Amino acid sequence: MIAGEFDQRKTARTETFLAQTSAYKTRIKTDSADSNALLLLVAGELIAILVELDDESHGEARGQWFIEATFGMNFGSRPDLFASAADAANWVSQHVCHRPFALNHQNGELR
Amino acid sequence: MPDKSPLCDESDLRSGANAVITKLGRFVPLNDGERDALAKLGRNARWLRRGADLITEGDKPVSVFLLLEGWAYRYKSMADGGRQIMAYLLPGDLCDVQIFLFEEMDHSIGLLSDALVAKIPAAEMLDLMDQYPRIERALMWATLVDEATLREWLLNVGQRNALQRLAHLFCELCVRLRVVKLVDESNTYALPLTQVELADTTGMTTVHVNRSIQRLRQEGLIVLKNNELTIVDFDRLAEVADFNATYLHTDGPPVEQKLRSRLRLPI
Repeated sequence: MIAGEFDQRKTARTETFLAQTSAYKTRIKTDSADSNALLLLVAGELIAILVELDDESHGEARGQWFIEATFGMNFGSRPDLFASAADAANWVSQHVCHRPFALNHQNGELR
Repeated sequence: MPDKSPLCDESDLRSGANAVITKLGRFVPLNDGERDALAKLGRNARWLRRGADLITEGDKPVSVFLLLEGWAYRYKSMADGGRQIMAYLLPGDLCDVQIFLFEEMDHSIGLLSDALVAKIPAAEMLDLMDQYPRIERALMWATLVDEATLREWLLNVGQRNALQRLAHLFCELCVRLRVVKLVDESNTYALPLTQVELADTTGMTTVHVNRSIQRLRQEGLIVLKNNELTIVDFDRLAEVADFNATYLHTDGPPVEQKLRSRLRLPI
């Protein structure tokens, strides 16, 4: 199930990158109420799992997004939390591709 | 501790001195002269604020720190802002007896809470050890226990899962704090740590720390409220953590006594 249809505007600057990125919604087991996750792929390879913090215990952080895991890249130290999945995806993609994760905000699937 | 003057009062000093005497007395039975010599180490102690570094990586160490009250921690920082906490120093702990032998510090020591700290010049420390060989041996035992603790922490970040890492840490702190009488009969102790500090200790993110704490709560193993931790069921928490307190050498007769009787040497 593809969650984010990426902006297909064919600008020279983003074309290659857009062709290579995708995101998939999934459920994740975390031993907490946090269960909404997004798998982020670049060039068909999984590079990060984002999770929505939904458990009451997160307090003020509830509703924010968290990079649960990263794969195959040295992400170094990273911000703990992001206001939205889009922000988190942007951060990952900036880090990996030095470009924002150009999602189609209109379809509203990536919050 | 906004109302405390930076200089400590006598009762602070007494309880702090008692902590170091009790702690070292666990390793080698101490006579009155040795106890007095240890008590004197704290005489110039001052209250310092949470967050302050006692010494920072790269500094040239010229003294040893004795923690009389409050918590400190040993840590290293990464260029990208990451940090690993490598030890907690609790009341009665001397922060690296041989620290002044290093050319420069390879790590930092900072305060996790407001703390009463005595700075002991290297010369005084060397003199103390020359004059009181049994204190020197007690300090050697303390260093060996610090190393054993570090091995457990290595096992924590390398092998134990998220739940076990926290469970192990909570058990260890309980046993260590019990020695200096900072745990009450319901197994409750002050835990002046943020989730960020717990995360940097256990090699996890704050989100994972939070989830694991919730899980320990839900399992009825701990209560954590206003920086006070109660271990509801120590045996069960120890089982979860695979915790065995032997490495801390807090039970039974002083360690040196046990060793000497094993070797049939006079005490």
